[in-house]
Amino acid sequence: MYGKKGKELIQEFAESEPGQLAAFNTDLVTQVLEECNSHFLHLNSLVRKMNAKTPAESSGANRPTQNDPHSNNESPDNSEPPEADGSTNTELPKDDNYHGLLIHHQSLTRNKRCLMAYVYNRAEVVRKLGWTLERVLPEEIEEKLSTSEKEYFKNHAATIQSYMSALDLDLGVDMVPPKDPYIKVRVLDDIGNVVLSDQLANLARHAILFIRRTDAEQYISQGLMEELTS
Amino acid sequence: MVREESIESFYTRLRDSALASASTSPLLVFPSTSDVDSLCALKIMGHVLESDSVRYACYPVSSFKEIYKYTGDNLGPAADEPITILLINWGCQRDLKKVLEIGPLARVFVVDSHRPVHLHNLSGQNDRVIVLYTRDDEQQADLAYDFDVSALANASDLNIDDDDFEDEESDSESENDDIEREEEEDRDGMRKKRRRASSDPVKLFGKLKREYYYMGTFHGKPSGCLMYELSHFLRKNTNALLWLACVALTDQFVHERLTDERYQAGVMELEQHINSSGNLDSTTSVTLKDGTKVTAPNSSRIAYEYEPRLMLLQEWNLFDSMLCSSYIATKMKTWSDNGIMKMQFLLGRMGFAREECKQKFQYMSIEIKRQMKDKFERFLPEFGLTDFYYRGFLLLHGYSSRVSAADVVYGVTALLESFEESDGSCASSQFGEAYDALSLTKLDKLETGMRQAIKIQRSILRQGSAAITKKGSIRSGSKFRWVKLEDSADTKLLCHPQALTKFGYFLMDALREKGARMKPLICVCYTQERSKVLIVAICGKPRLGAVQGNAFGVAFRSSAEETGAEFFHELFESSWIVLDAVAVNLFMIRLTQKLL
Repeated sequence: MYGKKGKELIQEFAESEPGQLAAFNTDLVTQVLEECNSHFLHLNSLVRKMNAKTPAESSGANRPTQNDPHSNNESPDNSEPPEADGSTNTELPKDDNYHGLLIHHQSLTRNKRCLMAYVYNRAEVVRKLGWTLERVLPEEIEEKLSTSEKEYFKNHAATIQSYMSALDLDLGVDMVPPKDPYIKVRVLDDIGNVVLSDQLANLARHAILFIRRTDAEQYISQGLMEELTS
Repeated sequence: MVREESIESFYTRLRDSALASASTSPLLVFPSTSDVDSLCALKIMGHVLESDSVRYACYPVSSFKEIYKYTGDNLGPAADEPITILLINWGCQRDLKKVLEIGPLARVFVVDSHRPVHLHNLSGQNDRVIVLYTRDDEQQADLAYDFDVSALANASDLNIDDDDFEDEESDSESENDDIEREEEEDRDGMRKKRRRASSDPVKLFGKLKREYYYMGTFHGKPSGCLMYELSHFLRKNTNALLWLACVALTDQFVHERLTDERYQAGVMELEQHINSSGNLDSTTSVTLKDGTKVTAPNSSRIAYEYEPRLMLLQEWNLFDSMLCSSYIATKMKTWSDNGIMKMQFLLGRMGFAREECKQKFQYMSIEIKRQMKDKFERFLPEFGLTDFYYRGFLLLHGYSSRVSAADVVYGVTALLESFEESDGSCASSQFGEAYDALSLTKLDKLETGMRQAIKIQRSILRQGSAAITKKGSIRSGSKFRWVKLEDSADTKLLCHPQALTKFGYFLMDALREKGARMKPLICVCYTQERSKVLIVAICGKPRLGAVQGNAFGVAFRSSAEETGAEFFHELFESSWIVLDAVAVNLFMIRLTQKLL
């Protein structure tokens, strides 16, 4: 069945967890591309057949000439005009060739849309990764990307970096704005007297502190503090 | 040292002072680890400070000098940076400026329910200590003064100026005790002359001051309730905070720190809050997608109801709770065979099957639960138990869970007092546990505490009944009785001030049932290593119009000093003292002589 492979590709993406990537399905993509190519060949041959018939009927004279450069064009996209014009029912005979042409063309554009959706949605995830991860991709993610996606990530991360350095601001922190710039924490170990941004505080074990979120972050990540939620 | 009469202006001053010193240090909060009220007050105050974005650091403490561990030199006269400190439920009974050596740049704010407030802390002469002491609190106190405390306090500081500080201190503390005072006067001939010779203000001042301190210690309004009033005034009150206020009031009730009348007044006040502003954020019905409306359980709701004087019913079973709760145990003497028979007879009369009553309360038949109140009220008077039900608070959580405020108090107190120096846990780590147990989401920790409380209550029953039945274990003096606890398994549980106090109240109730004349009771309990003893004096439940609170503090101190042994009198109640075990007998002899 035409278009089935393309559907599988989309399905695969839709079934994965949102925001997560499965490995780039090279096999399936290649298969879809092959299908596209075969559609294109069929399309070309059909167009030629129809062109061979139409010169007999005077009305379609200019159509084949318009069609030819398009079908020579590598991009299957540009083969749309004949179909559009084909809808002008009066001009073309509605024979087998005509319907074959229509089916092949529709399948071709559909496959193309599926491919684009697959690549675009994956690119979107890759772009998000550029915000949450520092420049380097962890291996388990990197092996799931295709070569061009890796390249895309690298360039995107570089762009973000240069933007942030121009702004002199780390935009990657607190992607969801915190409700409160302050945080209530419990100290889990004797840390001692520490300078917290502008204050001197004694971080003794079991103390409960209400301090700036930025001051607490490093200790929380080290496991020396825990956040208290009521 | 200033008295602040309005909660709002107290808070405004606190906040301004904290913000002024915020560039160098956060506001330092020191809550007492000794009671649940302090925890409640801390939580409410924390909420208010957080919503004002005031940064704070909170270090739980269990004795006066512990504060130095955290402040270092920042508090003393040598400090060069301003510092703001808030003490919760401790400190106002002693001259803070002197005891803590507060420097000129430090500001100490005190929220404390201990009374009397040291006059130096109230005096308007010095602004290093600011005490919250509302006019209402003074007028509704269990013990009333018939003079103006503020005026007395202001006079007291004037006296400092021409008097030796040290002398003034010892003098004012010794007012509690006649003998001590006479000694003092003998030593200080000057003062004696001055007092005798003139009927001028100085003499009057001395008389009033003596009256003021002679009353002994008692408790004012729970700090948790005061702090709730603050949050209410600032429109920052929530349901959770209101529940904390209920727990704070119940804490004083459970530990017999207030009169029935004041408890009733407190309950009425909180019921009004529950009716007007409580439970607003709860939804009672939910509309489903297809438009049908279903009633949903409230996420959590505070209710007030008549509660039986049975401990920890939700975690226990009816039978054991009746057996061990101080109210029924002392009245029916459930430790004796006769008493158990009586209790079973009562259950039989009420028509409750024994198997059902021994079932965990949660799974006991609904029928019995429903009938409980009616039946108890019908049959208990036959056994002479007339005030079995009291007005209390409940927190309802969905359909299934209901926790009574009293059980929370038992559980959290048990958590606060279940540390042992030997196994590395300490008061401040337990304070953290208790802090978590009080939040509505961590019920598992509360349950741990409740199970601990059950253990404590069982050992109270064991030791209490042993002391009552064994002749000679309670020794009687002219002014007080005393009892010594030596059993090592139970002393482990009871060697904490509040647990020992509960034990004392149990004994007093049992003695009253026996028809003994009421006298203060002193409980002595050996610590785990038997090297030290914890001594607690109990004066009976406060009554309205009583002339005296707990006046043992000064006698304790001077007796301990006279024994020459090491002692520790820095706990937050003056009627609690830790003493070297070898000196116990000498200490009791001295104490008896002093209080002849």
